[in-house]
Amino acid sequence: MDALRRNNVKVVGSGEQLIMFAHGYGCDQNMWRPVLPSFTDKYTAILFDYVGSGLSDSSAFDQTRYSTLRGYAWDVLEILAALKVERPINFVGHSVSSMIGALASIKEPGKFETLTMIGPSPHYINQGDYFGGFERSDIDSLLDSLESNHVAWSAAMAPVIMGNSDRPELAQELEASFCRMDPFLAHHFARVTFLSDNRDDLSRVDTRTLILQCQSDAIAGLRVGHYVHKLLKNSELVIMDAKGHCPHMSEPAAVVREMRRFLQ
Amino acid sequence: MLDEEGEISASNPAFCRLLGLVESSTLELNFRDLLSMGGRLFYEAQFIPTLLLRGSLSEIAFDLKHADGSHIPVLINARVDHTGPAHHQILLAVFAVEQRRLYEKELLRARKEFEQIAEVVRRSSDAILRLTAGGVIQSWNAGAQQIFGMSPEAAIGKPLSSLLLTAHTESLSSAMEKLKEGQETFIEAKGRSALGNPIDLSVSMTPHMEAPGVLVAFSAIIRDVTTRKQTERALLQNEKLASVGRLASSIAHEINNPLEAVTNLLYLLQLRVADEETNSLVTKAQRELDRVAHIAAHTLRFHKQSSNRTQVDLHSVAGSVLALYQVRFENSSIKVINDSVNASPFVCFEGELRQILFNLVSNAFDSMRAGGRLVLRCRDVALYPGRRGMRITVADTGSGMDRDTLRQVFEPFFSTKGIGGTGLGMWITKDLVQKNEGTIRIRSCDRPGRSGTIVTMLFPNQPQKGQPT
Repeated sequence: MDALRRNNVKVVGSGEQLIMFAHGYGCDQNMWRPVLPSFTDKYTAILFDYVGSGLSDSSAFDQTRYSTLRGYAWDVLEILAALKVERPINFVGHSVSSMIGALASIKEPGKFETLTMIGPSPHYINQGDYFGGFERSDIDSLLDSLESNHVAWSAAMAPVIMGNSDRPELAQELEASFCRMDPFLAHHFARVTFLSDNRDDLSRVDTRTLILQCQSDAIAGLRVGHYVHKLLKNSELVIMDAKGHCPHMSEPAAVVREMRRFLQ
Repeated sequence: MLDEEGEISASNPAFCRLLGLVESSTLELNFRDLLSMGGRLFYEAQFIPTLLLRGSLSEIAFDLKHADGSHIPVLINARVDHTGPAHHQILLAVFAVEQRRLYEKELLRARKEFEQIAEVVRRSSDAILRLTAGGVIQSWNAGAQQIFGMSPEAAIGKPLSSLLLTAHTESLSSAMEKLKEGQETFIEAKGRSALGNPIDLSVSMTPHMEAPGVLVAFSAIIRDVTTRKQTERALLQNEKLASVGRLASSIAHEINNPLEAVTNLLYLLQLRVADEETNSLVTKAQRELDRVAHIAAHTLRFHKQSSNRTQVDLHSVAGSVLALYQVRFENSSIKVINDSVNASPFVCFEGELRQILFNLVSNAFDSMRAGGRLVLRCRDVALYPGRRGMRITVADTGSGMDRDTLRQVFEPFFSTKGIGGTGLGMWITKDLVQKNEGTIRIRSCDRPGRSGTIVTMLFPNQPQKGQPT
């Protein structure tokens, strides 16, 4: 399997240093559009879609491989191997990708210079003393929401099926295809994202890490951000005065500023 | 209308009525507060980023919280608006879709149920087929693939009759006539397996009728019953043999008493006879009667199952098994050599050893209808350093077996004896040998002039208390 085709890998920019952007659940590599231009001068940026998201090859889906976040983390490592990168990269992961990056860096620490985690959570479900923010029944109701929206998301798949997405002059249609997910695989990715428990993995990460935490994030709350910071040995926590779960889309300038400072 | 943080900045009266709220109160709400926790996850993780990137989204399903705590299913069309003074704002059009959502839920549930049933059909080990009214195959499941070794592509479009041997064409077409009348039908037929071997099939067919009583399609469930048929035949044969055995044993038991009486009477008679000629007649009668007593005693012993290992004298066991065939050996001019007089006493299940020898001797006899030589030899051997055992060999100069026969000789239901054989003799023999921790090996040659079969069995000696093995 060609990892570059499987994960729809795009390489942009010409800088000497490497930066890899990994999207979270619910979207695809297009979610990095607001911040990407700020990095392409100094960095060579690697973008990709997880299997089941964006323009990835859904036929590569393997229920067993992707039943834990590790399968997705091995994909990240396979992409780096396929690109034959020779120097450690700066990995930027949104939401679930923060944990995927952490798992990849545990497996091959030499490949990672830094990790940037935007809204990370190692476990979404409250358990004993741990506050993840959700109950199991909440996750089930999310899965229900996905099912109710099966049709809408299937309809959004249509432009790919017609093959128009390769014609950028049809800007509207291109835009309409952003954050496309295979409806069946979206359901699977949601399960893996919101039901996984990777709390034990945090203390095994050695890579220098920046945690970008929004003041008010309905998905990964402040307490979760502090928890991640406490367990990551080599981490810096920045609480941003932004709302929502996607500050790189809603407040791109602030995110770029913090990242530049950290990466210096 | 929502601001960039999702706070509701304006709404129309219809929206407030929908949620059961006082008009002004919506202005203090964030849209995500109207959602359940699950809905909020979906809203933050998928809806908002997608909306920001695409600029608009339509017909997205949400459940909104009503003031009374109930949930209102809605569909939302959303658009990002950059024209206002703020950073950006989001315009939402909200439609209540209770009935439609119920209908969709029902559809989804029905589809899931259908998929489960479809999965059952797909994975069934029976062939489950859907056919047109004319009997053309429309679907082909995993069971069908296994039984007939045909891919769905190869099978779909073929007539059902192509799966059965031509001899069944007639019974199939009369079954199809019954289907047209709306009756379920069942036939037993032969077909060909993936490997081209004939197989026994049971085919049950169910019609699918539509008004006014027209057959529109039918389904067929085909099961491979070859093994069951074989088992049935073997069971029947076995039961026959077993009842013959029981009968023989009860006859033997019944004639034991009169036998004893006659033996005693002959003894008394001999004491009273003075005349030489009569005396020799009585002696002859006594000798023949001894033979009858021996056969009766053996028959009884054969039938009795041994549950414990006992020490047996192999020479006499071999002798008594051979004695059962003595007359037949003589009639077919077969020379018999019982070479086991030097064998040490051997600990084993006597009844089972008897059955093993009986099966092998009986096979040897069957292969030497035109005469020959049979050797039954028992020898003490060293199996490996420190472990002694017994080698028992049954060798004949019969017709021998070819390579194919030899390869299948231990398979159940494999027989070269036509209607007379069950095909279980060697299978059982091997099982009994293994039960006694032994091994069995067969060498055979079917070249005329040099033909014959040698069966060699090796049994370890049972360790005995206080004795080296």
